Amino acid sequence: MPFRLLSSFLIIFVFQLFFFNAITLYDMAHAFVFVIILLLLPLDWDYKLLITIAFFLGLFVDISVLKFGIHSFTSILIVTMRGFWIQIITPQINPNDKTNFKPFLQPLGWSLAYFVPLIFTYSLIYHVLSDLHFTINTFWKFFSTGFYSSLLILLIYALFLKSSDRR
Amino acid sequence: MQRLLELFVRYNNFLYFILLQWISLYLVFKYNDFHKEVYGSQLLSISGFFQEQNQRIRSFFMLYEENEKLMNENIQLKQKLVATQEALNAARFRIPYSRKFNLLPDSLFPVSVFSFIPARIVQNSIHDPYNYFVVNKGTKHGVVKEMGVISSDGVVGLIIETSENYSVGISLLNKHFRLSTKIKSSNIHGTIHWRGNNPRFAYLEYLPLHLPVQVGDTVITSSYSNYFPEGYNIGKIIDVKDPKDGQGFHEILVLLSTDFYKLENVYIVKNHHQSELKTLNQKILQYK
Repeated sequence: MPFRLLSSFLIIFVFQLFFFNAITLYDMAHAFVFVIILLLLPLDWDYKLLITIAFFLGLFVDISVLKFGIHSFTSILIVTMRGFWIQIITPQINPNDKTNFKPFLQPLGWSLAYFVPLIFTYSLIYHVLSDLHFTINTFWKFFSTGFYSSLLILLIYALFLKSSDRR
Repeated sequence: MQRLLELFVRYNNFLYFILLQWISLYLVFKYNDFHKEVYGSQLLSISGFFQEQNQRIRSFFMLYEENEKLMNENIQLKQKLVATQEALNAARFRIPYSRKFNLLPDSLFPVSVFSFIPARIVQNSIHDPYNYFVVNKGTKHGVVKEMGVISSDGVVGLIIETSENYSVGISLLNKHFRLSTKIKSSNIHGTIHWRGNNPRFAYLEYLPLHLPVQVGDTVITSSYSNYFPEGYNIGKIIDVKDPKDGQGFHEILVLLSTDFYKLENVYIVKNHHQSELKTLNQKILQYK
């Protein structure tokens, strides 16, 4: 992993812990920006390493918001699901050899198709596990968090990550 | 063992995924108050559901034993009730006597002359004019001829034949069966008789027209019967008509308290003074 990308991830994560956790809108829309790290972790890394990283990233966010286990559970699921999702939206790649596949090199349309559904899925799992039921209030929390997080993630991705990695 | 290890190696990614998810969920339900509470109450309701189902299944299999137990308890209670009634009857006579002569009654609670044997109806007819039933208790259990049979609701019949394990009884729903009874509120004596029509109704006979009879009065066993304890339910008067053929008796329809359609558990009544009474009755016949 390039050093610049790693440092970007670190900065995003620190911002998540100390800034994004605090800018929840109307107690509904949460900014889960750190999900971008989960989605951009190298695809060719060992699966166990990936889910271990996802577990600890989630756990740190959990500790920072005092919701133990919810982010770690959701993060592991998202990291597991992203491989399947890439296979669905990009059927031409070899499922056993993803070393040459770079999400950063894909067009914007692909990035939208990749990020947005997974961010919404993250939001859905998080809120259902958090509320332990699904009511209209849960729906609005899921939708607003998905929308808000997607917006922030796409902004950060377009402004900082996509351009920096290409170089 | 080798195969198990191979399985672990083959599915190590999946097992590791499960392990991490399990740790996460453990954290969720261990350290979040809301989740802990919901999980606790859900677990309790699930556990309660399973407990209830288990209890139902256990009860179903233990129904027979439970029934036997309840019947035995019922017998003890019936014996106490009969003994108390006899004691009360005895006290009615003894108290004025003891006051007069400054004596105390021997005991207000003598041992009852009646005892009960629990039984189950194994055969029962109700649609013939002359109905009989069979119970699963015989001479081996102490059953002899001319013992009364009652249910928890009322009088059922009388034992007429016995074998080692079974006994046959003449049902109250038999045109030959007649039983001495009385009206509870007025102590007027009569005879209950089923005329072979509806198994729910019988007639109270030989009650002269000058005696008052009210609809709703309860008909009970009288002390004239040697087969049943006094005061045991027979039925309720539901209709009183004038006699059809100019006889001097009321035409009284009684709704029987025993539902012969549902008859299952009964008690055979043993009168401990039966043979003594029989001997005396035979002596009376000599004077006639």
